[in-house]
Amino acid sequence: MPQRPLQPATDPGPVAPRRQQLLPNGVLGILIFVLTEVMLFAGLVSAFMIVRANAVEWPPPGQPRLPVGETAINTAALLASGGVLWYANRTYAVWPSRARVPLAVAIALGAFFVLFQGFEWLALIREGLTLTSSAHGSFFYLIVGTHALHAVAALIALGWAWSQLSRRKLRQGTLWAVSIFWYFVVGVWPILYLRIYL
Amino acid sequence: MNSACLVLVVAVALLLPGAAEACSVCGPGTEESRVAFIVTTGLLTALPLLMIGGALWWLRARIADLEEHHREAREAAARTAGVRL
Repeated sequence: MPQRPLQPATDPGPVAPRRQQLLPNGVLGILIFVLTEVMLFAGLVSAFMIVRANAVEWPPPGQPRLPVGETAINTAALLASGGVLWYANRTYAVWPSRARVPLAVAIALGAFFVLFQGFEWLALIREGLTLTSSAHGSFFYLIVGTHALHAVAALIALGWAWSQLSRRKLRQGTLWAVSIFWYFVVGVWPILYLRIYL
Repeated sequence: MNSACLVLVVAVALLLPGAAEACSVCGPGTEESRVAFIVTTGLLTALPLLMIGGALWWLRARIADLEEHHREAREAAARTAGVRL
């Protein structure tokens, strides 16, 4: 009896190419937004550097010095917030429901940063540093205020992500996008601190 | 046409001031302001290029990762089906 050649049990045939998204649309959108925001802050810091370099004395006479020590503590809180958010992302990937606590801690640290800055502004205004008192005041409130605006917007986004997570409606891409925005807020702050406060 | 262009270029060149000092720090500025001007010019020039370059590099690396993942998945599927590649 002639033997038949061995055939594969099933022929998988050509595998149809399947398009796969490189990254979620929300993440791509936020990345483009962050790139433009980086340029915004680069422009603001550049203008500040030029004006400061031209000044004979900085801060100008009669203007208060910025609270370097207190803001260093605030900076640490913001950096810690970024670290905790990174941990929340890692936790979410493994066990989504367990990411609620670290996400809440990250939001709380971020809120502490914004509130601390609010108190700092009130103290500086009392000491005579206002938007119109000098170029020092103008740049300080413009640059730090722009950053604070971003921080508040990112905190609102994080809060929304937390509420979605609580209702088990949060998607990985959404958390990723919101986190990128917060990482930007966290990442740009040390540069502002070094350039403006020191 | 070419001579008209030449006349225009010469006229524009004659109208140029001896020193262009639209920037407040280019002429009478201190050494510190000159350095600040150069540094910020470099920063604002290089930053967008670095960011776009970084984004393209990252996308390329991610595409390579996905292709590798697909190739491994195809090989695994073929092995399961009993086909020797």
